[in-house]
Amino acid sequence: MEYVLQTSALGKTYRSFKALDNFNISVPKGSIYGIVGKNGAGKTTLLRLICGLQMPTYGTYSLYGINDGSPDIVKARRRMGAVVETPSIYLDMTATDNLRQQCRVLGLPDFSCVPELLELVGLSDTGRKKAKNFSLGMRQRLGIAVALCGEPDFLVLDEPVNGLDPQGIVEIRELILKLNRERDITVLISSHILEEMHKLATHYGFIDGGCMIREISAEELEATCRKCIRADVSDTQATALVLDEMQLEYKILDNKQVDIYDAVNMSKLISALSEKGCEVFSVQNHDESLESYFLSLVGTGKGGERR
Amino acid sequence: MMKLLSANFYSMLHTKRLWLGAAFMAGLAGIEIYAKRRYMSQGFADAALDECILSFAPMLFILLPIVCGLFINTDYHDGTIRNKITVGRSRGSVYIANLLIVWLVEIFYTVVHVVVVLVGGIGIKFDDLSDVVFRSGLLLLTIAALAAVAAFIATIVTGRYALVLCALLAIGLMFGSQMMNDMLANPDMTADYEQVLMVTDEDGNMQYEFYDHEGNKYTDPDDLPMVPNPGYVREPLRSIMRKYNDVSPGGQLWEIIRGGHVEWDKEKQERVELATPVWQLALYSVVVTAGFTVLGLLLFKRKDLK
Repeated sequence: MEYVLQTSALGKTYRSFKALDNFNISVPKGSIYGIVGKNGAGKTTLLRLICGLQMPTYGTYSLYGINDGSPDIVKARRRMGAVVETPSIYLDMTATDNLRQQCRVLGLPDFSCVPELLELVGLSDTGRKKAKNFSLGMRQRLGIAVALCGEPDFLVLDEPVNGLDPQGIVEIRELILKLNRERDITVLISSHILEEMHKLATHYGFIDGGCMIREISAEELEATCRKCIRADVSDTQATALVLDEMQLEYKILDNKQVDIYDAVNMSKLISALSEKGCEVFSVQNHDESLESYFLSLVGTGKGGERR
Repeated sequence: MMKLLSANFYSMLHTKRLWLGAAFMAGLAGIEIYAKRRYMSQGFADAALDECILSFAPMLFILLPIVCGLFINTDYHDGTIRNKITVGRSRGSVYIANLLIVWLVEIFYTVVHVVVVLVGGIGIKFDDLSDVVFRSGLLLLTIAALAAVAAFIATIVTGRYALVLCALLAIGLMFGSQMMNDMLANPDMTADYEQVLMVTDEDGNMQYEFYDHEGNKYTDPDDLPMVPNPGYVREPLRSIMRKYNDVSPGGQLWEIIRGGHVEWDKEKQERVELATPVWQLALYSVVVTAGFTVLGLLLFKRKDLK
C-alpha cells in the first residue's frame, strides 16, 4: 500500500509535557484518514508537526516517502494544503483576493484556478464582501479553498466542523467527500466529533495521551461495531452447523459465544440448536457504537483538557 | 523569495495602514514646509530646504517600527503565515521577505515626504544638496537597522503586544539616546550654592544673586566654590554610553541630523563639538542589521508556530 504520510516514533514535548509520545501513523493514499481523540490528545500537535509549523522533539515523519530531515521535504509540502486550527485567511480581503494571495505565495503563473475554487467551496457569489464579514462556515470553506490552491493531493484539516451549524457541517462534509472522490485527494482530518467522523473516514487512528492507540480501517471498524445478536451457547460447533443450514452470517467469538449478524427467528433457532443438543444460555442484542468503541480504547477516567 | 515578496507587496498595498502612514508623512512634511515659509517671511529662518528634507527621519523612526510590527503581527494574528510554511516556503525566506517589504515601505515613506517638501518648497534652495543626499542615505541606513530590530521583535514575539514593544523600542531608542547625549555634555564640576535669585538693580539691569547653605550671599558670582557634579558621567560608563550612542539607531539618528554631538571636555573645561566618523556609523548600522537578522533567522527557524 502506498502511504502519503508515515511517522516513526514521533514525539513533541512542551517542557515536561509530552504532547506526542512515540507516535506512529500511516496514512494510505486516497483515504480519508480520521484522527479521533479527546481534547488535548495531541491531534493538533501532530498536524502542526507535519505541516512544518513545529519541529519534532524526537522521531521522524515522511511525506510521500521524503523524510522530514531531507531538504526535499519542502517539495513534498508543495503537494499538500492545510487548515490547522482556525482558517488562515486575510480578514481584510475578499475571498477572491485571499485566493489570489495564496496563488502568489505558491508562485502560480495566473489566477485561473480562483473562480473554480470559489465555485467548488460555494463562495463564488461573495463579491466584494470581506472575509471578516463572513460566517464561520464561510471562513472555513475559504480556508479550505486557500489550502486547495496549487492543486494539492494531500489535504490536512484540523477540526473542520468545530462550531459550525448543522447546515455548515453537512456542506463541509460533502465538500470533503467530493474532494476525495472526484479529485482523489487524500484527506487527513482530526476531530473529536465521532459521529461526524463516522460519516467521512475510510481509515481511523485513535489517539490518546499523545500515543496512537489503534489504527483501523472503516471496514474493520464497521465489523467491530456492527449490530448483531450475541448468543451464549454450550456448543459452538453445533451452533455453526445450524447457522450454516439456516444460511445466516455469523462469527464465533470463543467456545461459548457466537455473534449472528442476520435477522433470525429465535424460536426456530433455539429449537434447531436444541435438536443438536446445544443449550442456549442467553441471547442479547449487541450494538457497539463508535463512541463506546472509542471509550473502550481510551477509557473514561483519564485525559481531558491537557493544555 | 520573489513569490513571497510579491505576495507581501500585494498584502502591504492592500492595507489601509500603509496609506495612513503615507498620509501621516505627507501631512507632517506639509506642516514642515508651511512653517518654514512662515518663519522665512518673518525672518526667523534661513532660506534653505536642507533641514526640512532631513526632518523625515525622526517621523519615520517612530512610524516604521509600528508599521513593521503591524505587518508581521497581522500575519501571525490572521494565521496566514501558516499558509506560507505549510506549502513549503522556507522560514528563512519568509523572514527575509518580511524585512525587505518593510525596507521598501521605508523608502516609499521617505519619497512621499521628500516629494511633498520639494513641491511645497518650490522656489526655496538648498544650502548643500550633496550633503543632504548623503545624510539622507545614512539616515535610511540607520532606520533600516531599526526596522531589522523591529522585525526581529515582531517575529519572535507573536502576541498583539509586539506592536507596543516595537513602538516603545523606537521611542526608547530615540529619547534614550538624547538623554545620554545630554548626560555626556554635563560638566564634571558644578558651582556649589543653595539658592539663586534674579534681581533688578537700580539701573534696571537683571542680576543673579547666589546664596550658600547658610543663607549668606556670595559677593562675587565668578568666585563660587566648585564641587564634583553628580550628573557627570564618569568612566567606564562614559565610554560605554558613547559607544552605545554610536551603535544604537537612536544615537545615530541625532548624530547624523545634527552633524555630530556635544560632549564635556574635562581637560579644556568646556563643551566641545565632536562627530563620529560616518563610515563608523554606516558600519554599525550594517552590523546591527546583520546581527539582528541572523539572530532572528536562527530563532525563527526553531520557533513553534501556533
